[in-house]
Amino acid sequence: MSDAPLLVIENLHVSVEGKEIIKGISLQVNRGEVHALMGPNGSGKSTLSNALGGHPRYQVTGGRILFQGEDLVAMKADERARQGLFLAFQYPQAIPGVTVLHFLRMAMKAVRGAETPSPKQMRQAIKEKLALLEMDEAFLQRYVNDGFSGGEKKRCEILQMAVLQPRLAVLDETDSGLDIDALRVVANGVNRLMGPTMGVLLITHYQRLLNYIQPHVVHVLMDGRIVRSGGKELALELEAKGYEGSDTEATASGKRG
Amino acid sequence: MSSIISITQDQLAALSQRRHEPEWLRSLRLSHWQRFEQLPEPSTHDEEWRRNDLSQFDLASLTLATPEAMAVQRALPPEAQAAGVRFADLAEMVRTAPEALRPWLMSDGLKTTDRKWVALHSALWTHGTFLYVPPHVTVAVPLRMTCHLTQGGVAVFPHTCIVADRGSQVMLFETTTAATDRRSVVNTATELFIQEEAQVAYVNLQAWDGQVVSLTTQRAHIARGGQCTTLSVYLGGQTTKAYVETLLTGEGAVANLLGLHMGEGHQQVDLHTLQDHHAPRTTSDQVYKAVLGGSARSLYTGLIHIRKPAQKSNAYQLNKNLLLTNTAKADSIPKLEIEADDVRCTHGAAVGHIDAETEFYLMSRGLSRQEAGRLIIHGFFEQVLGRLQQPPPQGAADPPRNMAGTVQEEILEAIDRKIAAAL
Repeated sequence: MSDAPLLVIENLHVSVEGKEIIKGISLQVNRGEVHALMGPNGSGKSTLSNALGGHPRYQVTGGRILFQGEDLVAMKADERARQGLFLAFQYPQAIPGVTVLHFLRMAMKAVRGAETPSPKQMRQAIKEKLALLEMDEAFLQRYVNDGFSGGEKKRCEILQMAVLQPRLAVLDETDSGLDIDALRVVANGVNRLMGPTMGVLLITHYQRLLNYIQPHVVHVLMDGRIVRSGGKELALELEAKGYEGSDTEATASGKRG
Repeated sequence: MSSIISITQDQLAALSQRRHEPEWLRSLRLSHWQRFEQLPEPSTHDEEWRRNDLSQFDLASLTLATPEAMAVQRALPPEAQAAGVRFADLAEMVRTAPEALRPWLMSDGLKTTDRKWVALHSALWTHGTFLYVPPHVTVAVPLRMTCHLTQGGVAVFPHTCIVADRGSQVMLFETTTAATDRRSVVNTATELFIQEEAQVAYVNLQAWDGQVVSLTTQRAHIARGGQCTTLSVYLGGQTTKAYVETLLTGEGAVANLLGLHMGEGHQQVDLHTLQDHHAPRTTSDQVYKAVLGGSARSLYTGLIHIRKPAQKSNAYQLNKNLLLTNTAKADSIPKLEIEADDVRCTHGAAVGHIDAETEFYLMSRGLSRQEAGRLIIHGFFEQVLGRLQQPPPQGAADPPRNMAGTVQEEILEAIDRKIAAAL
């Protein structure tokens, strides 16, 4: 394993269809750390997660992203996954006709390559993770995200994360659309999977997920820039005061000049 | 078409003589020949030929295939043979047991069509298979048949006649392939007679090479309480013009009509389906899906016809197309003709591309772009392929094995070879 930090983002600029959304972000996630990235709608949260995942529509126009010391921007989405990056989607896609079990096997094979376990071991590993996430085995025979409730989709994302065992997980608004029970299950799943060699970047609009997952660092994203970073108390402050207070700092830095 | 392979009626009679065919068969051939001569030439002014290139179907430069031009293999398990199942070469049946053929061969199955090239097929058939399952006999494993065309520049007329007698059950899996160097025209016809309470699954995997132009007719007659599942898989050939027709003639008859097509390059499939309900409480469910790459084309015309006596019938029709390129094209023309007033019919059609967001989702799980496409196509086809289930044998104590499993796997392998070429 490389000694380089897990994720380093330096002065990152990202555009979508020619419009700049991320306007110079820097942050570093080390192994064993959970970072929360919070911000209002339209601040660029999903743009950052898509850029990290390697969505072809999101163009990095400046700065760089180093993942375990390697240039992430040069890699296609599938290569990023094989290097140990996992993106839990805000809106997971349905794949009619493909069962969850088959999909998990394909993904395991793709990500693990030569180290792919035998079909029997795979099935065993998948069953263990299902139990961890309090999910029924019948779930495996359903078509991926096809007719899933919001909660089922998010659990399915966490199940994939559990099975693929990434080094860095980016969770894009995984808490949105979840009732409190589902939120608890998803958060417990993340907590149990988290370990000293893994890092998590939690992207969220609301503070409530942070009642269940304790972040080491909280960043506030406003209009494509990180305007504040701090400990978990920052999240509570945002919950009490809203994002308005942070916005003045963005203004002070020249945004509305 | 009438300038075909410089054959005359006398030569056809002589050919029948050389094959030692009985008088009834010779006159059957000749009567179809006369119909062929009388029926009008297809023209691109006709709705059904409007989108075709007629020169592809031209027979003038081709020779009539000899028996050696196409290798046909069949396997009949000894238990099935002992139970009286016949699964044999048509010419051999003509020699050994012509009377067993007589009620069925080229009878109701085909004579009601007024298509010139079907009449030609019925007059000239060169190769053939006859499958007969006696009353209440269940054939426990899928019967296999492979046809491999080895000569180019020929006109071939393979015929399949399937008779499932009362209460019998059978699945037939037919594979057609070719390795030829010049254009050939394969004019095939399959007749299916599903008698009272019989259950038949008929799977046709068409994987001709790129030199083959095919004209295909399939007509199923389903009697009272009979059930028929057909799966047509079109992967090969330059152009395939196919008619899949189902006549639900007995009360409570059920038809599941499944189709998969994958095209690339300039391949074209022109499929016409007919769900013809003659009797009350009949059900037909037709699903046809196409995946098209390159400049491939799919034309789908589907007719649901519910006749006046067919009250309380259900008919469904669905055509879905997945385009891999901007140059591929799919057209869908559903038609309804409903004469009964207490029926339920639905039809739907859709054309779409592989969704960029879905592709990104799969790639974010480590799949390459090609693997992602393959998985999406598998899923798209699975919703058809997964419906190929043979019903459990009647009175079986053990939980039923999915006999269709190996057939499905083999079809998926053929599709995978095609995907590798198209993606």
